[in-house]
Formats: sequence, C-alpha cells, structure tokens
Amino acid sequence: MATCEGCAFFFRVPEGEEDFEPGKADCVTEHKDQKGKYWLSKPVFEKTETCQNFRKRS
Amino acid sequence: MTTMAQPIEYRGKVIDFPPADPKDADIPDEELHEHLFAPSTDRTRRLKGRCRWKHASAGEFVEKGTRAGIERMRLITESHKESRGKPEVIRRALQLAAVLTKGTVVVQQDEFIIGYHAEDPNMFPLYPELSYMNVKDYLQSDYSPQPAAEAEEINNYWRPYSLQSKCEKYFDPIDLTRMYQVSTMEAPSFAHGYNSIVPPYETVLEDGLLKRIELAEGHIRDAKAEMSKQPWDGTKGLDWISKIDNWEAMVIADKAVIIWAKRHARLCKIVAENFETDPARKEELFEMAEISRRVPAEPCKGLKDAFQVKWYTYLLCHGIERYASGYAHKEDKVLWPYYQASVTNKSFQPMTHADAVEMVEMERLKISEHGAGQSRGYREIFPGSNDLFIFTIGGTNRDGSDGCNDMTDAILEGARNIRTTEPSMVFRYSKKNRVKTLYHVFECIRDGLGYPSIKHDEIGTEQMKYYAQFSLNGNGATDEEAHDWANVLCMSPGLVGRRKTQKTRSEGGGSIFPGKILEITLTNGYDWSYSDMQLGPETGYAEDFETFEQLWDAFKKQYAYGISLVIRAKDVSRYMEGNYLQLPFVSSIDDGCMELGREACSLSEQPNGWHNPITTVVGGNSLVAIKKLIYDDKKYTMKQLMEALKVNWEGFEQMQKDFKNAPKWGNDDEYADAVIKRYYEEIIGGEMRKVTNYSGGPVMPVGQAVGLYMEVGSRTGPTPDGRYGGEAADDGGISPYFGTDKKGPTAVLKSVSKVQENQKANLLNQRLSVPMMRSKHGFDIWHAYMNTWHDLNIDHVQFNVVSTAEMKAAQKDPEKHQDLIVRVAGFSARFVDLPTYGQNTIIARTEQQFGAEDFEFLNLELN
Amino acid sequence: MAVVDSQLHLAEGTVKPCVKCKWHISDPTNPARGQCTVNRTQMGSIWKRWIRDVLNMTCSKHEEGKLSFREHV
Repeated sequence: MATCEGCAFFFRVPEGEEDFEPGKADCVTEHKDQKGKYWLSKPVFEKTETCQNFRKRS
Repeated sequence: MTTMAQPIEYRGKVIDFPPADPKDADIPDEELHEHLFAPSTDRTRRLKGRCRWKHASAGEFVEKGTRAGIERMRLITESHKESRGKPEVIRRALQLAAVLTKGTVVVQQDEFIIGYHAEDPNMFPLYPELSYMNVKDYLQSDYSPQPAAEAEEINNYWRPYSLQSKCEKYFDPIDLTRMYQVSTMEAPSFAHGYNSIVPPYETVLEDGLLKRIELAEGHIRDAKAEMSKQPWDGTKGLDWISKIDNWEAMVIADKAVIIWAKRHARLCKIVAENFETDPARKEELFEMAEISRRVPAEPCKGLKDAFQVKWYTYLLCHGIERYASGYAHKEDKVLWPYYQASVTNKSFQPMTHADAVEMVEMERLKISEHGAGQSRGYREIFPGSNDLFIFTIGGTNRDGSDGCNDMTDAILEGARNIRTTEPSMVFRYSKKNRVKTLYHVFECIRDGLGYPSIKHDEIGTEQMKYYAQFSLNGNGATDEEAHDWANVLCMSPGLVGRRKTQKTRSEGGGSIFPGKILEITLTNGYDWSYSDMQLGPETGYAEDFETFEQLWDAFKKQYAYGISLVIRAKDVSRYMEGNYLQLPFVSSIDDGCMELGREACSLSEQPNGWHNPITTVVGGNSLVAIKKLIYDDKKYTMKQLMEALKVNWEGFEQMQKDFKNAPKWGNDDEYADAVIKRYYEEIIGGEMRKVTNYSGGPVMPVGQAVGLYMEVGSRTGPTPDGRYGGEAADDGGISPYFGTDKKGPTAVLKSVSKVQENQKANLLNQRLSVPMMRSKHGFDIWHAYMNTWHDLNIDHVQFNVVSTAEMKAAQKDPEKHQDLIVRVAGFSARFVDLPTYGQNTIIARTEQQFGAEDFEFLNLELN
Repeated sequence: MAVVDSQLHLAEGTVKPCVKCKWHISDPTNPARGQCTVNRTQMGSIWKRWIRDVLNMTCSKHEEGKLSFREHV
C-alpha cells in the first residue's frame, strides 16, 4: 500500500514550526478550473494512505 | 447618444446640463455602465475576470459550481466528540483549532491577499452548531455538501447541541410557527443562523496575537495566585473559574490562528519553489510568505501587513469561528497608520498611492468571492449579491476633526475603478469633511454603484453617547469613543475599536413587518391571505372599529406583541450563545474580555439594541387612506373596504383608484405626514423602546428593507394603500412607496425630516436623474442636496443613478450588462442577477428630477 | 369541509406533491414547509400561499419541474 511519504506533493513540515510533528507534512496539490489555478494544502503524515492525486516522487 | 437633462430657467438664467465628461455624449443610455469599468492594473482586471462570484437570488446560486463544503462540519464534529467533559468555552476553542490546524488552506493564482474559509474556493462552510433547519435546507438542495449522507449524519449529531434546539424549547410552538413564516416577523436568528459582528480589528493589527497570548497567560497566572490566597473566600474565589476557562480558550484560539497563518506562509513558499514558473510571481509569493510568517503573530508594520491581517481576522470572525454577515469596521481609520507608514513615509513596505488603490481593488475582489452558508430565507433577501458586506468611512475623529484622509480617497477610487457589488460602503457625512473626498463619494454615486450610502455623522455620534448611559458595567462609550462608529450592517451605527463593539446580532438586528401587521389587524389578527392561520392576538375586526383611534390601538397591540416576542427570541439566543456558542478568538482581541476574563457574547459594555421595521410605509399609507376615506370623508365604509380587499379589488376598481390616490407619504403633504409622523414616533419607535434588552438598554427601530420588501410583499395580501395582493412593499425604512412621491426630491426630504423621535435609523432610497448627475452641475446639485439633508437632521440617504433604458435593455440581454449595478436597499446588486419581480421594483422607483423650486430650497448657486 | 381541487389541500401520499411542482419554492425557514407561487398577475406580482406539508399537499394546478430564479422572488 503506497503512503504519502512517497508522493511528489508531500512537503515535510520543518522542525521548529509550531505545528511540527514527526512525519507530518503539507500535502500541496494544484487545481485548475475555468476560473484559473489554485493550490490547496492539507496536513498529512508519512504513513497516511495515498489518494487519487498521488504522483510518485522522482 | 446619451440623453441630456432639459434646460431649466433658474434665478433669471437658463441653465444647461452638458455632460461633465464630454465622452459621455457618445455613449448610448442603454450601455453606460459597461463603459465605466476601469481597473487600475492588469492584475485586477484579470482577477475580476476570473472572480468566483457567489451571488444568490430567490434562494439559488447564480454561478454553477457553487456549493456547500463539508470540511468545517466534519472537523468541528470530531473535535466536539473528543472534547467531551471539558468546559464548553474550551471545547469551542478546540473546535476552532481543529479547523485551523487540520483544515485546507487555499492560495489562488494572481492574488496577493490570501485566505479562504472552506476547502475549495468554489465552496462555503456550513454551521450545524447554529441551526439544524438551515443545514437541512442545504441537504435538500442542489448545493448539498458531499457526501450528503455524511453531512446528514453530522447535522443529526448536532441537532440536540445546536443553538436552535437549545432556544426553541423556551417558546410556544405557535409563536415559533408565526416567526418562522417571515410575514409579520422575521424568524429568530437561532432558526436561520444569520448573524453580525464588529470585530476589534485594531487590536490584532496593533498588538499582534503573541501579545494577546502573553496577556491571557499572565491573567491565568494571576487568577490562580488569587485562588490560592488564604483564607479562602468562596463568594469571590469561585468567580475565577470561568475567567480562567475564558483566558485558556483565548490562548488555544490565538495559538491556532498563528499556526494557520504560518501554514499559508508555507503554502506560498511551496508554490513558489515547486509550481510557479514566472520569476516575478515567485518573488511575490516569497513576499507573501514572509508576511504571513510574521503577522498576525506580530503587530503590523505596513499596508500590505494590514490588508492581510484584516483579511485573516475577517475570515475568522465572519466565516470560521462562527458565521457572521457584514464587514463592519471604519476602514480608513483602521488602515490610516499603515498607509502613512507605506505610502506617506515609505518606511515599511514602501508603495505609491496607486499601489494602495490596487490593494483596495484586490480586497474588494476577495470579498466578492466570499461564500456565505446562509439559510434559504437569507439567500432570497439579498438578491444579486453574496451577502451583506458593508464598511464605513469618513465622519469625524475622536477630537471632532475631519475623519477623511488619503486612505479614504484610495478606498473610494478603488471602488469606482473595479465596480463590484461588494463590499458596499457607508460614508459618514459631516460638514467638516474635505471637498476632495466628497467629490470621490459623488463620483461613486454618479457612476451608479449605489454606494456609498450616507449617514449623518452627528446623529450617529450622539446615538452612541445616548446608549452609553445604559451600560450594565458603567463602561459605555466616552464622548471621544462615541466618534468611533461604523454601521454594524447596512444601517445601524455601532462602536468600532478595541473594545465595546457589538459581537452578535442578538444585540441588534432582525426584522418586523408593519405592512403585514396592518393587514392582519383588519381581520382580528388572522392571516387569510398567506398562511390561513391566527398570526397575532385577537384585537377585533375592522368593521367593528367605530373610530380611527380604535384601529390605531388594535394595530399598536399587534405590533407590541410582535416586538416583545422577537426581542425575547434574541435575548434567549444571546443567553445560549454565551453558554454554548462562545467566541474565544473574538474574546481574545477585545480588551474588555481580556481584562475582565469574560466571553464576547456574554459581555456587554455598550448597549446597542435595535430591530428593523420593514414594509412600514405600506402600513402608514394604509392608515392614512383609511382615516381619510372612511373616518374623515366617509366616502366608503370599512365593510366595503374589507369586501374589496378580499377580492383583490376586482369589481372595485374605482375604490382601488381612490385608495391609491389618497394622500401619500413623501410629498410634504400635511395630512399624510401628520398621521405618519405619529405612526413612526408613537408606535414604530414608541412601542419598541418600551422593550429592554439583554444589555439593559432600550431597543429602537432601524427602518430598513434589503430584499425583504419583495419577500414580505409577496406574502402580503391587498392593502388599503391601494396595493394589490403580492405586490412588493415599500423599498426603504422611510422611503416613499415607489411611484407615489410626485412632488420632487426636496418634498421627500421635507416629509422625512418630520420624523425625529424614538428612531435609531431610517433608510431613505432615492433615485436621481442620470443626465443631471452626470452633467457639469452634478456635483454642485448633489452637494447642496446633501448639505440640506444634513441641516434637516435626516439620518440616512442612498442613491440609485441608473436609467430605465439601461435596466430594460439589461432585462432583454443580461449577458451584455454584467457590470450594471443597482442599489436595492442597504446593499447593491448586479441587476441581471435579480429576479424579474425585483428588477421591476427598481425600474418603478421615481427618478427624481430637480426643478427650479428644488434648487431654491437647496439655495443652490448655478452658472 | 369540502376540498376545492384548485386550492391547496391535503392529500396524504399524493403522487403530485407540492415539493415536485414547478410553482413551489421552499419556506424561508423550515424545510418541511413551502410556498406556492402559482398566483401571478399580469403586472408581475406574485401572491404566495403557505404550504404546511410539501410532501402531502397538492392542487389541480400542479406541474412538475423547476422555475429559474428569475421567475421567483
């Protein structure tokens, strides 16, 4: 089972941030509709199961 | 070719009205508004082009793809379950923290001011902790959050905990049914979730949240030390418990807000480093990241900081911690120190005045995308707009000097350039205001934006002083603080600043409908025309009233029943809000809450009680017609009138004409004005102010309309003013019924100025002639009109400057008229997003033409 | 009391409930109730009637469908 840790959209929360936790990351995805682009950020963890946006990190 | 105003002979000269801008001459009347859009930069042009409008109309959203989100509901539910056993205020803080730390943050292409309150910029959040009926309505609609089954489960979970359930049990079900119909009275806010607030923006910008946390933690330490003192005194010591809980909740809330802002900073940086290819935009994203890393944790230093922190604070107070309509603040006052730092002194975030105007335009477009999870009823009554968003500018400072500054001008210029319906704005008119700013105000009005609406500065200031005397803790507004006010929503002044501001609509707001009340007064309190049920007390049948005074007394009783019920509903809600719907973030930024350890909904330092009578003039004109034709002239009997009303005047056409042509409000008519003055002062205001609200002060009328004049009109049968069943009611708190003000604009002012006692505010809608306002004399005419209005001690006026030709063209071809904005009442709307019924009421408004007699009354010099 | 077909009346289990009628619009507050907008004049006014039970009331003017917001108020 793939986990978020392997995803290109997985951006670790730096240590020192108030909401830092080991393994925690911001999942940042780009979206586009007829009005234009926008980016969404949600908290995930290394071991979180991947979603349909998963893209393997190169 | 544009229409020009006809020449007028005045003081021995013939006055022509050529357009002030020669280019106007070549623009056909039917398309004027489409030529007025002038964004100051390419960026704001692009942002408007892709704006995610969330206009509602007749309960539907105009733009496809707009719908409710589920994330906020889900996160507060998880938190509520996990926090069982904790003090309620702490649970509320933890719910806020859950949304801010676990919810989605959003950044859009091209924007500089960032932040959104739902998981997608096309969505808006719902509030199951407020009203279960509101959420249920969404679940049955095309805008349901998804998955719908989960949303339904969440709504069912919250039902017993909801504000609505907590309040309903204290009311007779019959009274609830009457209120829920929104025909004689508006439904209580616990049933629909609508709310308003005046956030203490200044505190966040000036202090930063780290300082607020430090203050609260200091208070907790001191409180615990007090509790440990010996010998223990339970009568004093136990008071610290709730205070400690309130301060702890403030700390939880503020720490979560800092995290939330920094999540935005991280997002900007990630987008810049991983997604954005344009070098200029990358740099900008890094700058945005730096701002959100620093503020609102620390105090603001420049104008970019200030706009961003104001926006974060707005989202928290109006969309995340709790829903609230409005955008109440005195924007030029709040931003002025930062304009000085950035534009005047260039000491931090240096920029030009033009850059400041661009910031204003960008802020307006953020508001224009803001989605509100309003109830069905509220999605009907602000047609053609997202919600009510109204801020205030102008007026006077604490020392009485002119409150206008270059930030005021930037706000007006930005509004005129970008042409959005929202936010609307209020200008506080004082004779001390500089002419340069007044000209900007006029240009917005002349361009048909419908705002600023104008409030009398001194009336508002004196009102704040008046209410201060009722303060429950003796800490009402000082004479200096009384100058710091803004409209809480469209009409009613309330304090702004670090303390004493209104935190909930339970203090002031909500409506009552004298037009419908007059209708049921004629039939013993029974509503035959809409609901077929008893809507008020049994006060007799019109046919049995031998004198006008008997009718008058019956109406008074109906109104008194309604007004006590609706204020009771607000106060019961207030009580429950203080116990179950606390606002820890708002409390943290109010100096009074911080000092006293009190919660924002519970603490009341400055009373500001009001309620909105809407459809008042239908009631008033009906009383005049009855008195004249039945009791004075005896041309008809009451029995004949009741027969005619029951058949919607069919077969009684001459009688309908007679009642329609009876003296009407707004014509400086002695007969009509005497009755209506007494009606406003003795009943509308006089009965209302007998009620004392939660805060210990009187409740006073704020005559209004918004779109309720259409809604309630459609639920009101035929009335003795000559109205047919279902026709719209009057469109403003004190506005003449459309088409019945026939003696010119100064006659309207003379009528309105007669009503002075027992009023808090009254909305006056006037439609002015496009050719005259756009002529070279336009400003001078308007300025003279405004000075006369001011001297007559009239509270308010707002303007439509739009031609019938353009509105009719827009009805035929809505796609070509997207920039046509009209003033409804208390807010502006995109004309083509109004239902046809509403469009026709605006077309029907009298377009006031100034004549020589008016100019004389205004003492106008023209060349 | 005699039922008048052309007026709103209770008909438990009706297959033509108000909630499916194009003239129906929701109650402003309570989703279980509704408003009937079928009474419209040539001048464009809409004289509404309250529907106590959107699932079980009907009348002979029932027409399935949904009007645009432009045709409501």
